[in-house]
Amino acid sequence: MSSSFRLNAPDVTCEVFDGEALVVNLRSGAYYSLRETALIIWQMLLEGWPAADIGRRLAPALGLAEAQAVATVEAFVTQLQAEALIVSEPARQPATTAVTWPERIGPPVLDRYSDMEELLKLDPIHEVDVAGWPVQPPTPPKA
Amino acid sequence: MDFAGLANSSLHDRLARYFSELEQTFARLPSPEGTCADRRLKLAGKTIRLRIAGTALGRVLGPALEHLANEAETATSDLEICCWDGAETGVALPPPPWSAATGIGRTIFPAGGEQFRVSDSSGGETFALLRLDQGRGIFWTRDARRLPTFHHAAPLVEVFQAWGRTAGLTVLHAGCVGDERGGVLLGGRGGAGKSTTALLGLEAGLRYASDDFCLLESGEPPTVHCLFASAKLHRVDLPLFPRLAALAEDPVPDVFDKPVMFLRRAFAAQVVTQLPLRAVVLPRVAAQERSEFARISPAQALREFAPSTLFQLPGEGAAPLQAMAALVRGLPCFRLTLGRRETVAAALRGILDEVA
Repeated sequence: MSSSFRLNAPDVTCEVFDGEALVVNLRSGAYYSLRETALIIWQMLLEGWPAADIGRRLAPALGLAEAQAVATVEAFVTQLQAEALIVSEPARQPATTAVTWPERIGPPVLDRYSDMEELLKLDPIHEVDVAGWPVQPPTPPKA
Repeated sequence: MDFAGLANSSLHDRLARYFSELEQTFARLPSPEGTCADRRLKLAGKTIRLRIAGTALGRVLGPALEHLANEAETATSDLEICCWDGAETGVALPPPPWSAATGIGRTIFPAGGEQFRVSDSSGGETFALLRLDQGRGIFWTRDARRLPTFHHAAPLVEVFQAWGRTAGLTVLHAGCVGDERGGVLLGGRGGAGKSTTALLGLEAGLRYASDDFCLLESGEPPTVHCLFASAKLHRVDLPLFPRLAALAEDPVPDVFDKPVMFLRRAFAAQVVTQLPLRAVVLPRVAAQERSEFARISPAQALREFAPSTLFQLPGEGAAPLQAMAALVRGLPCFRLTLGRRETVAAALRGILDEVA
């Protein structure tokens, strides 16, 4: 996994505080809390670090061999992609990171909240494509 | 040839033509004496003009917005909404330039249509089209006598939400009460207790700006503006609020089963047009004797109170979350654990003591 990633804006928005990121998927109604290791990975991803590089840098703090740490981070990134929170883009390797972390960290956890999803189903936002309203964007064929 | 450019101007032009047709329809409405109202409101320093055709519609839109009345206002309107009742005027909504089979709720337009917002609700019983770049809008209802009670409690809330963003204002799903020192914003998911907390504060003599939807003006300090001088309670809770229960009416019962109370009828001195905010408070119901409060992190506060605003009133993108994030970063945030109802107002005053 050598891509960089960016926030899946405008469908997804994020606010980062000391110790926690609140990520909101405005399209699905799900929202997420990222803390500790999840927050570290999230911030480094948005800086442009590829997942494998994040894994290698966090391996000592995770207490894992490099290959295992890389696999852990890549699995988390896959989870973020599956939730449509991030999208890949051409790699852009940053020189340094502003993100810090303690000596010991645990595995990343993505806390997902779905209590608002039903509200969107009751009051959906319809989008149209450039052909004009009311033409709705074509639904991709199911695999 | 730039097809995308054609599509953008085509979409804009179609919407602009339809909006113009609606305005012309309103201008030609029959207006028997006494059936039309022209109301000037003042909200967050902005002038709003409501032109209402239909006495029944006037009874729906009027009471909750009464506190904003400013009939002496002569300044050019920042927002003008022409509203008409299809049943009373006998004039239906001109057919829109799209298929009736399209199930619209709220619609976001691509490039070319950004300045327009459409909303229909209640199964096609209402329709609103806003032209945000010109501060003008149209609201139509099939029959005002059939509008469910929540329309009486929070009239035109979606109009205020969309227009508010253009004026740097954010509609929040939150309560707000306070005293001479300022107010506390009461946030949280449905059922958290924010409405009950706001109304207990009102009954205990606190100033009132909201129990459900209010208007946030970011700034130093941030200010909540009272959007609706109304409140709603579950029917089963009315016996716990005898003074409010005496005001309760349910014009057209809806799925929420929450009668509305127009608060100025009994609490006129306490319903304020605005409160400067001093704290963000997240209530939580608990089985304990006394109500208590404790500080919580801005992140926790935002996580608990932002989603209901974002998803009760979707369609404005990331901007509302940014406004709420700025709020919790700038103000102290508290968890209010609710004990016996007699202790709630004292706890709210205790929070204001702490942050003063």
